Amino acid sequence: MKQTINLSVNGKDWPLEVEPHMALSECLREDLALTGVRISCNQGHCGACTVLLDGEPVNSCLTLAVDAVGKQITTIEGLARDGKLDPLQQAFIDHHGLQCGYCTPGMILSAKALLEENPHPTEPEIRESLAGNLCRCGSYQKIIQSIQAAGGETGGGA
Amino acid sequence: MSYTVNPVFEHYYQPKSVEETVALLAQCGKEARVLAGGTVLINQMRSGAVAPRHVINISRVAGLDEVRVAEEGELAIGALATLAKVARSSAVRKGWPLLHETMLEIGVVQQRNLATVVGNLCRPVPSADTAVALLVLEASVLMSGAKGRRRVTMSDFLAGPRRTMMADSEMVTEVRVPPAPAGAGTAFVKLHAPKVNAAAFLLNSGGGCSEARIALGGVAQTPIRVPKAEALLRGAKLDAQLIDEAGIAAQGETSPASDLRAGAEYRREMSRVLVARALEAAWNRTKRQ
Amino acid sequence: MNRVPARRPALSKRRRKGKHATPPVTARRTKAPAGSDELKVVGQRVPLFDACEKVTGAFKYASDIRLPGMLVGKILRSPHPYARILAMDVTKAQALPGVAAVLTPDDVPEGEWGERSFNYRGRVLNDKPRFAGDEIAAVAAVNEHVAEAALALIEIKWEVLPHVFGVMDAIKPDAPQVAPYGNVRSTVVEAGDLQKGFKKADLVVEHEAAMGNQSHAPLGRNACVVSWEGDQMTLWTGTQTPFPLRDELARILKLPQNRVRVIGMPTGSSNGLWWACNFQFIAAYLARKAGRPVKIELTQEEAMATVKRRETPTVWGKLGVKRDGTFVAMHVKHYFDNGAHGFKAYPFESVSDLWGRHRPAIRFEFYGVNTNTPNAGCMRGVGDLTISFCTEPLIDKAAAALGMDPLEIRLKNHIIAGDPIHSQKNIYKRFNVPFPGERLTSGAMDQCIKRGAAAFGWKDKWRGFGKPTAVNGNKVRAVGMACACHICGGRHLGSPSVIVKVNHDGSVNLLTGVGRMGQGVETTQAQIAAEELGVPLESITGTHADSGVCPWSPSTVGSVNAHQTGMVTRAAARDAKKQILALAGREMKVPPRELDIKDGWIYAKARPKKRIAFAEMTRKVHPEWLTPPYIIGRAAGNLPVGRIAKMFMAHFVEIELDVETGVSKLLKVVAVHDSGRIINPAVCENQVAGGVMIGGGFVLSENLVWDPKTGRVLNPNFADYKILNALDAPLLDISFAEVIDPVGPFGVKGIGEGATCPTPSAIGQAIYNAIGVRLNAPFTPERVLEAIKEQRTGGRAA
Repeated sequence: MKQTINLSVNGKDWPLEVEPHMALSECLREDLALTGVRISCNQGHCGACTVLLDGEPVNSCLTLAVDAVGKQITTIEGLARDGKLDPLQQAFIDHHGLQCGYCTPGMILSAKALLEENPHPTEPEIRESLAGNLCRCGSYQKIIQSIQAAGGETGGGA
Repeated sequence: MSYTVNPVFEHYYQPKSVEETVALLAQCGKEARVLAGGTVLINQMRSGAVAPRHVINISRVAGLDEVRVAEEGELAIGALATLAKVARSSAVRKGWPLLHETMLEIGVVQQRNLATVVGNLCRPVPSADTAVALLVLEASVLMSGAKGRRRVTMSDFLAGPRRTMMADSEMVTEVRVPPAPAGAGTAFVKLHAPKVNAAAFLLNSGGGCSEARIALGGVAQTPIRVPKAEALLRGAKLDAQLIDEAGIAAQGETSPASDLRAGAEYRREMSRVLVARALEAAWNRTKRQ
Repeated sequence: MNRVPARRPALSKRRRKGKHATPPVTARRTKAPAGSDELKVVGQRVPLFDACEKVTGAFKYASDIRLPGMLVGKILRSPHPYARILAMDVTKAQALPGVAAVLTPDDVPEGEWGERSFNYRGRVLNDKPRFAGDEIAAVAAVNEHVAEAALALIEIKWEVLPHVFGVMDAIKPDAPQVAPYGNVRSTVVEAGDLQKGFKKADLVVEHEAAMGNQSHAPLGRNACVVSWEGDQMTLWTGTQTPFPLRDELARILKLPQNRVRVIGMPTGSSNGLWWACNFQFIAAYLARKAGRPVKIELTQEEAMATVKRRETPTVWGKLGVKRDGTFVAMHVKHYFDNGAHGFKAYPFESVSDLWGRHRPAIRFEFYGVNTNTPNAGCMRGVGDLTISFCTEPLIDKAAAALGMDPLEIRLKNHIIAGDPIHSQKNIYKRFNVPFPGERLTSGAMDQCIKRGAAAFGWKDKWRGFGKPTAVNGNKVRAVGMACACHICGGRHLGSPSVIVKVNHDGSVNLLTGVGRMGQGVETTQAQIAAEELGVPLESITGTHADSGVCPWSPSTVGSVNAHQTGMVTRAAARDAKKQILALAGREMKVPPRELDIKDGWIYAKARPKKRIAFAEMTRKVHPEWLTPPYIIGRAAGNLPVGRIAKMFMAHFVEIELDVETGVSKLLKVVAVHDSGRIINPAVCENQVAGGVMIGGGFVLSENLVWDPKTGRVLNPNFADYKILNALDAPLLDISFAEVIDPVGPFGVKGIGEGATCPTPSAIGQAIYNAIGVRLNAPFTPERVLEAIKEQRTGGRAA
């Protein structure tokens, strides 16, 4: 039976009617059209569906939508503010931290959570934080460089 | 091979208290499953590996997400405490570094933010990392059920292959870990493919080993302690040769199966290597204090 | 919610960023080739055209397509590896509320469809399924759960047939015949007299290599959405081959090609997986029967266990060498598993030519074999990855016996520009045209080897065959190197065609039929067009892969685009330029041949100050047309006859191996590539990095396995099929030997496929140097440890 819930997504509340078994990933994609939440393995192994729940990266395919009530959900669509890209997004563009683009939203969100906690991460720390985000194009080196560059920029300004 | 987009179940409950949960469990019986972090159960329901009619989501139960130092200096890990939360806890880092070390070896960031320690214990795969660490820490499990509360040791809790001794009408509320005495040293080591892991707990009393506990995962039907290897070390002076002997003894106490990732023989041999490595690291750490 | 406009930063900003921002590890470029300073856009490290959409999540894949009234399609798959359907009853499934259509083998043509490069041949639905997972029926329903439930209601009476899984079993004459036309397809590439060649040899060595099953293991899902309007069909799907897919759909549906519109969407990571695939054909028939749009989205399990995998090869080789290291004869037999529906006789390889400097006699035999296992076919680096995994150790064995080092023997034997090429011969034969004799256009294998060795510090790390570089307790460090080459498109693929449309305001639409899988083709083709046309890059927008809009293009396979399509893109831009210069000549009263365009200005070459802005010219009302001019540049054409380009590469690797656990870690890779002129260094570095990860995964961790009894794939997921992740990624040092190719546009060759090829062999050599044993792939810890133990107990020799 459907439940009426309220999800706080990218800083705005959305009243929704969902089945309790609906995965958060599916809810964000289908009900809120946030297709930047990518589904790949749908088993919590690839990280393409990563979103931030209260700032922490989680696999939205392993989370039920009804379980995300009361939490701040951030998807890739919520990263840019007032038409201005997040420094991480700009760094991924400038440093070619992407190829096919499928892992990119999840990569950037994992990196976002890392930089919030640790503005100047070492390379091993970056690699560790990305271990749950697979990139089959193998762009890891430029992804790491993108995060280092963004870390430098945001760190300097913060 | 028919993983569905959403998991499949019929009825869904979000109890607010342990009592309410226990009442629901009593009412729904075998057809209910408790959902906490969801990293395991949601996939099982997607693939059809389990098809519970009732899913009882305990995430709204108050007070279960704590990681705190309780009475008698014991560490209490609530049923909703995530691996990430345990890893971050300063009390854990200070008093139970083995748990800190183990948590960071489990899964990836996204999974650690969802998965709970108790969830990892309640579905004890042969290589369950948390169980291996908690076995050498001689932790206990607190359960609540229709007939009241009870406390059992970690090794009693692990009843058999992928199952615990918990009744269908019970839930785990907390894991309790005794405080480590001075002179203790611990270590957790792990191979990822295949999954084989080992934990060691050693007590250094004036240069001799007064207590030794070793657990292994991925080399038997459940995570196991290896008493013969432990006995070799108790009261002895540890050196490279004795550590090697303990590894060989531990290897003899395993009964691994072959699977996709590796054969039984490889796992058996890795139990020797990992035990030796865990012992060496743990013993070095006893000296650092 | 904020929606960021999909805007590209201005070129000036990009250049600035690109110049300063890239860390030194990958930024090292080779000396600029002569004349490159005149190029304005080609050679620039510009961001991907679609980067902004990708980082904001606005980018769309086929799985994001939703249409009103769209149904969900699901496929029923055979549980048996080989069986015949005696009866199929779909009444119950059809009656289930929410089911719009059930499609059975009776609803699809008796005849087979065929993928253009022989990666698939079979019926749309099979009443005699050839592997566990083969498609036998499909359902369209209101949602996934109803569709799944309906599949479970389909009742089938089976006649289970004897099956065959192994290549060497399937090749036997009395084996079960998987396909109606026999199990084995073979071809030969040869030159010279093999027997005479071996007679000249002072030394003959042999090697045999077996390898695991690599899955494309895509990150990302692919879907196919089909909508019919009368007898006109529109199909959205992620595909590398929009036009060959369109052509085959039209043929089998008996529709004119203009009634089948394939809109090729970005694929996500494809690596050769998403071409024309059977689920797209199923979706077409299912949507027609249901009378509503249908979407079939494949799950990870379906993508890994049923669509395609790399052909599993066993390769045997024999090499005859003179005392001084000169190759005189090479004989290779390459057996590869085509799975259930692959139809290849030839893996489009180039390595048979690579060591031909001294005209050795060569005979490369290829045997494509059908088995009752999941379809197998091309995956990135096809042919050359697997063959070189045998020929590279073969060369090492010879070098070791002669006391040469791996660099020396390779430098002595690799081909150079002008050397003869034989590997395309059989393709000419296929099209029934005489083989004109092919010669290599350009090649810088020597530079790849020498510069790679210098960057790697090879001299300091190389200790000899079978000798580790350093031993520290249980940890052994060792190095290895290997070479390979690969095609840059090919005449057999067909002729690309391209349109460059110049609008009244001076903006440009670039229309091509290429497939988009993240290789940066949208950007690099635009760089070529902008360079030729003399306009700023940001004035170009591309539309690709839409068969209703774009001109025909070959499959985006075999690293075809930079070299082969690029040549045509440049020609189309030149055609547009010619038209503009004709108009400008009249306007400026200068003969058109004395004009040129650069940076958006049309100017007189002799007097550069006499100029007119490009956009001003395109805006001028034409006196006869009474509108601004219509400028449509177009071109079509194939590669020249008689000259053929190949890409070359050398990889140097350093590994650390734990001799107690058998676990190997790839620490560092130095890769030097001759891909001709580099259009966009950042794009190419990413392509090489990806190749290294695919090649590394091939030998270190990836292996698709099936149940030896049922044939069902046991690990079609990222939990049990391990691809390399951020923790496994080695340090990379990538650079380019920019030799200007005489055929490619601005001297460009290709890069994507070949990047995978040398890594596995280089790691194999490093493992050999670490433990003294040459292993089959993958080098699982278990296999490595076993080898170490056998070695210690004086077991087998290498």
